[in-house]
Amino acid sequence: MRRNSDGRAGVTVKTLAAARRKPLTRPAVRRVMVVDDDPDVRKVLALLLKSSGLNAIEASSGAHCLKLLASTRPAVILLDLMMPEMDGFEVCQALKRDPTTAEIPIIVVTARDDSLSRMRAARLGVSDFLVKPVSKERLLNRVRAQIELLETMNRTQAAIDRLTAAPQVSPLVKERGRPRARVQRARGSLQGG
Amino acid sequence: MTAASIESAEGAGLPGAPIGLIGNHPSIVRLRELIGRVAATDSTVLIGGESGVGKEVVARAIHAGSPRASKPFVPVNCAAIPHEMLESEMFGHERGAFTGAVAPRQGLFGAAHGGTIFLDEVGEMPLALQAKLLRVLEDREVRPLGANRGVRVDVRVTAASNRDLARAVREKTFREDLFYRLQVVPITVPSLRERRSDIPMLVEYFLERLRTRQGRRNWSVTEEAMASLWAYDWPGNVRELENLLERLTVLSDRDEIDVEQLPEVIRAGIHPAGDSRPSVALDERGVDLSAVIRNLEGRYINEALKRTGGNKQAAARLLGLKRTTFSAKLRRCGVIAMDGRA
Ligand SMILES: Nc1ncnc2c1ncn2[C@@H]1O[C@H](COP(=O)(O)OP(=O)(O)O)[C@@H](O)[C@H]1O
Repeated sequence: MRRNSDGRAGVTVKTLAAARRKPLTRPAVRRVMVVDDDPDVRKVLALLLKSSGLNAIEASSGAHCLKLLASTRPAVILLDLMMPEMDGFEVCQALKRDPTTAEIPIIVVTARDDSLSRMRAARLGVSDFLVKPVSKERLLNRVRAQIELLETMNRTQAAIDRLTAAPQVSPLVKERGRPRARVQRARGSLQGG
Repeated sequence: MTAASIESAEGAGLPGAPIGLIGNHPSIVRLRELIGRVAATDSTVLIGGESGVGKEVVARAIHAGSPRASKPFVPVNCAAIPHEMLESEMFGHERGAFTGAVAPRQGLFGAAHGGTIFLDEVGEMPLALQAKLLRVLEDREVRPLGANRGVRVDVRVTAASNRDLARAVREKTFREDLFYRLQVVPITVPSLRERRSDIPMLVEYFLERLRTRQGRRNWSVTEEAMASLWAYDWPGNVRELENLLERLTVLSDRDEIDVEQLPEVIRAGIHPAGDSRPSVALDERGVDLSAVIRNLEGRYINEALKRTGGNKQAAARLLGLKRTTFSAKLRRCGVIAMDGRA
């Protein structure tokens, strides 16, 4: 379905490594990008995020967002839908098409409360959809939820990576002289004789 | 069954067969990918997640994507089988092993030979049996009750729990060694409220299934109803959504599911900033009138934008406001609701 198992982008590998090092309850990255053409909205959201210990990066347009993403990697993107030139849907499409940004969870924050927009956003791979006005708690809960989900998946992926790489990369296995037993133990499986 | 039909049944279960895990949320896309990878290994998998999120669906997908696909998939609900029967159910028994054991019986592990067993609610297994399960995992043989020798079994083990097993280990109700044996690959299935963007797709999927099952009727969900479904927290997850749609389609004589038909708890979720219906009930606690007004403004602004497809000029006209006033209001009450409800 997607490029991954072998062609994983550098970013994923980095976040994976980070996820291994850090305790899992803490978000791996505390950076959130706010994409909205209205500077006041951006300011309100940025202040809110900062007040709960997250860093905000502001992008004033879709193009600005894509440009910033070339050099920065937010944990979550808060995206407005109604923006001049490139609208939120187009930004979404662009982000999902690019393998280096496809995995960043996108939370739409919009005044458009119609099911067509919801459906369209959902089909484009948006993670969540919030309608303005939104309460602080709700917004922060939803941001945290997406970060935690990503970490859970990273944990599973790390376990599978370890498993599939085990026979080659673990020198300990050979030194201890019982490679078979250890590998089978690591796999924890029940294959019969 | 003829040899030919057995062969074609085997062919149907080739690795990489489609996985019945509906959703387009990034976490589900990722999960499908990970399932594909873990299926190819023969590893034990421990699946966590709330009730109704699809843990069994995941276990089945792992089996269906594995080289064992043509062999049995055997689900065991450890919470549903009485404790005193669980051991003989799982491992089988010899004739006369206990009163009533008039004939020898193969256990579920034996029935799963060559395939995959799914131990659901594994956290409910009594400690004594946990020790026996651990031995089965280590020795790859089961000993039926009353037998004096073990029988080799080739079974892939998948297990699930909606309880936090790590915590059960700390509380000494679950064996630590068994826990590590099981969770070689830990998988957590996200709750539905963590992947709300999948709600429309799941609704479509379930309605389509009901359509084919019940024939002719062409179910649909109104915009407003969909917004409510999206806003609700779904403590019973996908199972709750599936049950609700079944109930609604059975009860309703109209093809369109509207917000009025939804249960009260779900309808309540439609007000994004909490219950802000203007009511003039005023008690000794008083009321923050400006907040109430801002909230009401916000709702009208939303409605106007919705009606005009997001055209601010037209929305302003609809509310009898100048474009600049409208924009100012949109900014002021447009992003963060003033009340504190999550
Ligand atoms: N992603 C999904 N796509 C389609 N159906 C699903 C999905 N997740 C759950 N279901 C359905 O929801 C119900 C509950 O799933 P189940 O696997 O029994 O949950 P759990 O084992 O976590 O309690 C089942 O009827 C299942 O078919």
